[in-house]
Amino acid sequence: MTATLPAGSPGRRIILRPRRILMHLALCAGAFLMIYPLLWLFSSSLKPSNLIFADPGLWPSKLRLENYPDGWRGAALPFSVFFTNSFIVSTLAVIGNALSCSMVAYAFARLDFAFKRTLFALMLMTIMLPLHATLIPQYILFQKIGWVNTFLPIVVPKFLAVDAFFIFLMVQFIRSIPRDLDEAARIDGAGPIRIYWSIILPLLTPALVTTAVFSFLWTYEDFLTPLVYLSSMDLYTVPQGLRLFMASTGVSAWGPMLAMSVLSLVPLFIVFFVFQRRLIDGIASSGLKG
Amino acid sequence: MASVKANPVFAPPLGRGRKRSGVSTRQNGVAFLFLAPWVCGILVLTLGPILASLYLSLTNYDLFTAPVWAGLANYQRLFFEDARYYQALKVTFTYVALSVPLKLAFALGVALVLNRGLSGLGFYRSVYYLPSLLGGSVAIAIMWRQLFAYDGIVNEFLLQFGIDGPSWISNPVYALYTLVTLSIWQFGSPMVIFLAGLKQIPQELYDAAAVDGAGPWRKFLNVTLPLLTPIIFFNFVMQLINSFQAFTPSFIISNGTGGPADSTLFYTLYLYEQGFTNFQMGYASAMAWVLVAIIGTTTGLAFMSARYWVHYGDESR
Amino acid sequence: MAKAISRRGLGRAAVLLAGGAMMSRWIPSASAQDQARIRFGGFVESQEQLKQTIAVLEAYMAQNPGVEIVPEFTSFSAFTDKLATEAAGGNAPDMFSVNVDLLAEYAQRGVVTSLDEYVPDPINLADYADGGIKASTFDGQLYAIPNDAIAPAIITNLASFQEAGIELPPPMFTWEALADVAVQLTEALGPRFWGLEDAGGNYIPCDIFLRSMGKSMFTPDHQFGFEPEDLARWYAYWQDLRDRGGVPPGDVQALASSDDPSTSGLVNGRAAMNITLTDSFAGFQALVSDELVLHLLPNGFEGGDMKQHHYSYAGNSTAVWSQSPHKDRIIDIIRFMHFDPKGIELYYRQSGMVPASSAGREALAKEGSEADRKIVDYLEVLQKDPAPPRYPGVTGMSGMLRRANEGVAFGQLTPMQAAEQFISEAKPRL
Repeated sequence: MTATLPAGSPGRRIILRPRRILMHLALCAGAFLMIYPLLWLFSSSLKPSNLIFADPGLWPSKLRLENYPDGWRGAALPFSVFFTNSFIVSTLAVIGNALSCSMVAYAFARLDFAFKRTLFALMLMTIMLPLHATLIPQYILFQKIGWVNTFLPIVVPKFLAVDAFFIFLMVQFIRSIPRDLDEAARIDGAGPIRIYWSIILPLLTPALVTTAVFSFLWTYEDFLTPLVYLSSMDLYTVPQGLRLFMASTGVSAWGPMLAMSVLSLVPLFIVFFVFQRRLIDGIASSGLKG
Repeated sequence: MASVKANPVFAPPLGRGRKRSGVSTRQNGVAFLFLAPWVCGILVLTLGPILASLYLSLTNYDLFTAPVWAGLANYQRLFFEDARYYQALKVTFTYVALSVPLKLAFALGVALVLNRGLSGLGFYRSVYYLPSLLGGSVAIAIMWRQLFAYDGIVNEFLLQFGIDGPSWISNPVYALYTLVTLSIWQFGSPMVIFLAGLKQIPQELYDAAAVDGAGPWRKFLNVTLPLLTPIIFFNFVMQLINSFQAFTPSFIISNGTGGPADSTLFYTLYLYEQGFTNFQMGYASAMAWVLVAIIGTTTGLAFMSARYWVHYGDESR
Repeated sequence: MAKAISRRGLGRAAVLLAGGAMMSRWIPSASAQDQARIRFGGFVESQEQLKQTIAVLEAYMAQNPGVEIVPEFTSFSAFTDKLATEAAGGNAPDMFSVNVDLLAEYAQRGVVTSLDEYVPDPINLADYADGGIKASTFDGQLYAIPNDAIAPAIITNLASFQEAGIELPPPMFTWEALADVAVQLTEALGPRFWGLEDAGGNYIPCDIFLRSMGKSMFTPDHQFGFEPEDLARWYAYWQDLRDRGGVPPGDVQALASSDDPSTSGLVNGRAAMNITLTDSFAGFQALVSDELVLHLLPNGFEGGDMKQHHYSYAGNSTAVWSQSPHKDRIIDIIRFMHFDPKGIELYYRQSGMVPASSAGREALAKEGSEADRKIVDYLEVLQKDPAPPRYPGVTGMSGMLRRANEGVAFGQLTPMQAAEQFISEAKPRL
C-alpha cells in the first residue's frame, strides 16, 4: 500500500504504522466477538451434561472427553455415515450450481433473446415463494417420479439451476465485465460458446468461488429438504444425524451432540479457508489489458 | 461501444446505450442452449409445485384429505379476521427495515477494511465468517440465551454501570431486536460477496486514479463505489428477499413459538404454524402468495430505482 | 440394499461405505420378492430408547428372515413435519410413533388404522393402564398401542427445600398451599430465584386445576367442560403468584419452553419446582446435580373437598398407517415388542420408557434405575384411586394457552380477556 501512495501527501507514511496497529486491534476485538460462541461450543462439548446448562462458564470444571467417541459411535449409526452422505451431496451441489448457474447467467447477461425480462422476473419469483408453501406439492412430485429416499431430489435440482440466488449473483458479476473483451474475441471469430468458456468463465473466478463455497456450506447445513426426502437413516446427512441426539422429553445427549456439532464445523471451516484463498490469489491477471 | 447493443436486463428499453433500431440482434438459438438447464428445472421441478400452491391457496386443504374448493375465503380470513396475521406483518416489516441496511453496512464496512491487504487477512476473513457458519444450529439458540437472558453476559456488563437490564431475549419489547442483532452478527455471506466484487475491480483503474492525484477517499468515491454498485444491488435485493422470508432465527430461539407474546412471530413462522401445526395448508398457501406479492413489489421498486444508481461495466459510459 | 441395521458397529459402517448403500443413494430401495419391507417412523425419546428400539427390531428380524424393518427416526418436532409431508404424499411409514395430542387429528382424517379388530387377540391390553388406552382411543375406537405411561407431576429439587429450611408439602395439598410454599422459597432463596415455574400456559395442570373445581378442560364428547370465569380464575391464580414473587416475571419465564428441560428454570438454577410430565423426569435429572423428586400437583382448594385428580396416559404410542399393505405383520411386530418375553426385555430395558402394562412396570421396578423406580412408585400412587382419563384436545392448543398466559404476564390482557381469547381460538377446532 505504501508504494502506491500518491506524491504530495506529506506525513502520510508516518501515521500509517500506528494506524495499522489500531486497525489490527479493532479487527482482533471484532474477531473475539465473532469467535466467542465457538469457544463456548467447544468448551461445552467437553463437559458432562449436568454442567452444560447449570454451569455455563467458558472453563469446564469437569472434563468429559467421552462425548467425542460416544457421539461418533451414535445410538443408531456411526457418525461417519452422515459425514459421507453430506460430502457427497455438498460436492455435487458445488459442481451442479457452478456449471448450470454460470451458463444461465451468461445467457441473461450477454445474450439477447425473446421474453428475456419476463423470464428473469419469473426466475426471481421462484425464490420469493416460501419453501414451506411448496414443500408438499414438491414432495408429491418427487414421490410420483419415484425419487423419494434417494439423493436425487437434493442433487438434481442443483444441475437444473433452480437456485436463482447464484444465477443473479453471476449475472451481476458478468455485467461488471466490460464488453470490450467479448468484442475483441468476436472480431477474432469466436462464437458465444467460446466467449463464455475462454473469456467470461476465467474472469468470473471470484463469483464462481463464491458460488462454490456457498453451495457447499448451504447444502451441508440444509435441514428441511433432506429431512423430508431421505427417510432411511443410512442416507441421513449431518444435520439429521445431530437431531438423533435430541430427545423429545427424555434425556437429550447434549454432550455428544455438541461434540459432533464441533466436528461438523471442521470441514466447513476448512472448505471456507481454502476457498477464500483462491479469492485472493486466483485473480491476479484480471482486468483490462491496455 | 456505441455499435454494441446495450444489454438492458433491468434498464428500460431505451437505456443508456443507444439502441440500433430495426436490426434484430436476437440470438434465440444459442441463448436457449445456455438456458436449457434452467428451462428444464422450471418446467419439470419448479413450476408445477408453484402452480399447485397457488391452487391450494383457493382451497381448504388439511394435508391428509383432498383439497376442497373455497374460492377467496382464505384471503378474506387473512385480511379481515386474523389479528395475528397483522402482528406477523408488523414483526416482519420491522425486522426487514432494521436488519437489511444494518447488515449490509457492516458487511460492506468490514469487506472494505479486509480488502486493504493487511497481514493475516485469511484468518480475519475466516473468523468474521464464523458466525454465519453456525447458521441456525441449536448452539446459536443456547448462546443467544446466555448473552441476552436476564442473568446473561450483557446484563452482567451493564451491572458494572449500575444498570439493571431486562431479559432482552424473552421480553416482548426487546426480543425482536435481539434477533436483528443476530442477523447483523451473521453478516458473513454478503461480506464474502462484497470481497469478491472488490477483487473484480481492475487495479489499472486505481493506478489511473492515482496518476490523477486522487487520495484514498476520492478513489473510493470515484472508483470503488460506482464499480461495486451491481454487487451492492445484488446483496440488497437478496437480503430483502431473505429477510422477508426469515424463519430460522425465530424458530430456534423462540422454539418455534414466535414468542414471547408473538413478538417474534415472523411471517413464515406463522405460515409454518398454520400449515404444519394446525394442518391448514390452504390458508398457509394463501399467506405464501400474499408474501410473494409483497416481496415482488419491494423487489420491483428496487429494480426500478436501480437505473438511477447502479452502473454496469457492460454499458457504454 | 444392505440390511443396514442388521449389522453392528464398525462392520455395519464398513458395509455401508463399501457400496451396499451406494446404490440406494440413487435408486429407491426395494426388497426382494419374498421380503416384506416395513418402514417404522418414530421420534427419539433418548439415546437408550433409540438403541433398544433398533435392537428389538433386529431381534424380530432374526426370528423372521422374510421381514426387513427399516427404522426412520428423528427428533420429535422434525418427525411431526416429516410425517405430515409423507402422509400428504401418500408415503407414510407403515408404522409410526404418535403423540396422543395428534392422534385425534390423524384418526379423524384416516391417516391411521383402527386397531379394534386386533384386540384382545393377538394384542391383549387387559393388563394396561386404563388412562393409556383411553388416551389412544378416539371416537370409541383404539388407534394406537401405548408404549409408555406418563402422568403430570411437580418435579421438585430437594436441595432447594433443604437450603431454605422448608418442609416439602404433604402429598395431598391445596392450590393455595402450593402458592404459599412457592412464595416462601422465593423469599428464602431469592433474588433471581423463584419457588415455582409459571405453568399458566400448560394444558395438563390447567385441566387438573379445573377438575379441582369440579369442571374439566374438555368433556368426553369433545366440548369445553368449563365456563369462561373458571379459566379466568386459572390465569388470575398465576398473575397473583407473579405479583407475590412466587413465580418469575413474564420475561424470565419466557426463557423456558415447555418441552425442553434444558431451558427450564429448574435446570438453569433459578427455580425449585417445575410442573411437567413424568417422562421428562430423567431428562431433568440428567442436567442437574441435585436430587430431584416427583410430587403430586394440588388436588383441591381451601375449604373444598380433596380428591385425587391425576390421570396417567400414554406418551409415546405406536400407530399403523391406514394404507400399509403389511398390517398383520405390523401387529405381530407390536406383539413382539409388548408381549414376547425376549421383546419386552430388549424394548424396555434401560430405554427410559415406563411400560404401559403392569407386568412391565413391575419388571422395571425390580431392575430399573433410581429415576425409573421413582416414576413407577409415583404412577402406583395414581393407580390406587384412578381419576377419569384425559380427553383429547385440539391441535395448536398449547400455543393458544401459552399466548393467553403471556398476555396476562406482560400486562396486555386481564385474566378474563385471556380466558375469552383462548375460548375464541379453540372453539372453531372442537
